[in-house]
Amino acid sequence: MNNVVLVNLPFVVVALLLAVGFYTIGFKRNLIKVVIGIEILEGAVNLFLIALGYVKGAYAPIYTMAPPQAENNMVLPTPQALTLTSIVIGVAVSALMLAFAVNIYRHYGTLDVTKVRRLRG
Amino acid sequence: MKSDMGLIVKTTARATIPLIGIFGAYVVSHGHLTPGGGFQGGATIAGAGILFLIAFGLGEMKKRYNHHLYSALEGLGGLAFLGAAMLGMGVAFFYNALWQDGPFFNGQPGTLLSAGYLPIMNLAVGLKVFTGLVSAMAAIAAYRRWKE
Repeated sequence: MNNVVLVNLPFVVVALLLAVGFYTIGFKRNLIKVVIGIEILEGAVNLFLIALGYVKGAYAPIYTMAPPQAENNMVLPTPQALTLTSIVIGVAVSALMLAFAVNIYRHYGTLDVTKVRRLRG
Repeated sequence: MKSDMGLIVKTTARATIPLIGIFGAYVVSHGHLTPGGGFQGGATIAGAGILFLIAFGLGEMKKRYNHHLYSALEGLGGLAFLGAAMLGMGVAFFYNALWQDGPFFNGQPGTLLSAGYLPIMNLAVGLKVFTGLVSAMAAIAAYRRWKE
């Protein structure tokens, strides 16, 4: 497990997810696919936060029924709280974006982002 | 258009919705002891509500879902969270007065009635997340008005 690639594998995955998410936001025309790209970006950010708090061989930061060797040997709890907040914000933002997408489809009759630019109604 | 599922799905939903609700209530109420908490448990119970919506259709959901009641409960969850945070205003905001010298919720750490205001806050957040998610899903489901 001391291989440098294997240790940094979560961050490689984060970089790949960021690339996929930015590609989806930048080059896809369907609004639902753009929303999916933003969700992929949120997943990358959450994985990055959790991977930052990892301590090798450590235990989950829960004191209920914790084994004795978990004393002073737990992963960082702060990134987990940050990630929980980030997940909540992601759910709210995705619900709002999908509601906007439904509204845009009803208003314009299309979800193509290059065709919803004209003013109507 | 028929908006509910078949017999097998309905029967299975009748069997599993109470189980999902009980598990979500367990996750919410043990949020200060085990993994989980307000958001996770609330989202689990909201999953039971969404299962009801999908299995029994929008018409059955409209009979049992009251928009005003759910809005009021969501506001009540936020107010309960704020009230629990204001309990120790004599010292500071978010001062855990129930845990320091409160009449209840100050048991041995690790037991259910411990951790001061945390169980109250978990219940408030769980209520808020459950009502908010169910309201959002019911609103999105009721929005299908475009022409076929």
